Amino acid sequence: METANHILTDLVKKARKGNADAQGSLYHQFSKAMFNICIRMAGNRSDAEDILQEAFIIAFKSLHQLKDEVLFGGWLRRIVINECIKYSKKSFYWQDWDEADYEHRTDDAVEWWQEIDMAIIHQQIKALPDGCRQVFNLYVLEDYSHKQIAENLGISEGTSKSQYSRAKQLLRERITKHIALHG
Amino acid sequence: MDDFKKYMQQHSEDLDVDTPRGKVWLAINQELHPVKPMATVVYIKWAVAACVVALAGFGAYALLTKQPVSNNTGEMVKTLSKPVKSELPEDVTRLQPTTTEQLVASNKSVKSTNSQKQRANQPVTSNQQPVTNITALEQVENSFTQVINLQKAKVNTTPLIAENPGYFNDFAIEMKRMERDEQSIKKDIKKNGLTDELLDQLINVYQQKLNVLKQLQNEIHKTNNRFKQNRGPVDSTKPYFLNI
Repeated sequence: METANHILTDLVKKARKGNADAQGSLYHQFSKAMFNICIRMAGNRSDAEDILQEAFIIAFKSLHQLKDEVLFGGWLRRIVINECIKYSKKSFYWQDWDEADYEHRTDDAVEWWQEIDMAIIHQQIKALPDGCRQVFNLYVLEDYSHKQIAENLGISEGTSKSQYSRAKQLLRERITKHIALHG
Repeated sequence: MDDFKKYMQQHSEDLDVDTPRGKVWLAINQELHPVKPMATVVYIKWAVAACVVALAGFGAYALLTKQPVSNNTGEMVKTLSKPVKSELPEDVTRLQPTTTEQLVASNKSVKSTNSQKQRANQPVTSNQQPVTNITALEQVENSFTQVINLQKAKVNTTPLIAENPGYFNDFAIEMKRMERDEQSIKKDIKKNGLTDELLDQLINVYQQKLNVLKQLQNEIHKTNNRFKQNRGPVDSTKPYFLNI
């Protein structure tokens, strides 16, 4: 772990000085994880690649602001998520959703998600409708609270909760259907 | 935290199944390190090659323009005693020794008079000078052209697997600009004769051409290698080729 941190620190220091090889190494180390955040948030490859590209350019150009090189991964992740949120805000309008109804629409008593291939879940997250897809990702995978989601996306906390509920319900329906069709 | 969220966070790494295409890194790298075709980056290997060719050219030029010099002091004195003053420009005649005593005073002075003799002889052999100049120019031109053509052939036969030829347009534009410069210098040489300054300019253009071609080749290799690293095996059936 210490060696890995030492390598990372060295790469970040070199990348900060504009070393293209070090920047390339950092990109190859982190691009896959960051790209998957982007593609789950954007829902399509083309926009996800644009967001990823922009995020890495911002990161490499702002590396002097990063105080502790070991924290590069988390720092980069925040830049990526901020870029995803920026993209979400300008690319779609929120549709009204029955906020009061969300609590009754899910049934967590049955752990339907157990034993399901994560690749299928990933595919279905990407296919969720705009709005609930972003809320789902921020709440579940980025561990944002509904309050933080509401502040970042410019919606009410209730809308965030209902969108999450809707996303979970849609996921369950679609995955169940997918398994029924394809096994 | 609900159970679903907990489960998803525990298995979040398994969700990362997509991979970005290689063009993303190329675009990032291009943005962070734009290609500067005219940057004065010296590629040592090619700079050395260019210097060798240039030196060979200069050597040939010097040999061909040099007149046979006699070691016979008497003959030399005799030659220098001739009334060449009227044929020489003023600055040359100022250097001309006036007596034979001055000429034979020391070895040093004899050596210096050798060069003076050469100068003194120039007007006499002036009808041969343009011929030797043109020969020297042709030699310099041929030497450089051979190396440039060799480099062009290398570039034109390297397959472009990562980018289409349009990506390298800046290099082609730069080469065309240098072709125009070369033609312009050659016109000046035809008009005014070959001067040291024009010869330097011409050699400089050839060296720049070599530098640009080498940079282009490096850029092609770099993009190809990145593509191979990012994308794995390459479809060799659809490569592009440049026509520089």
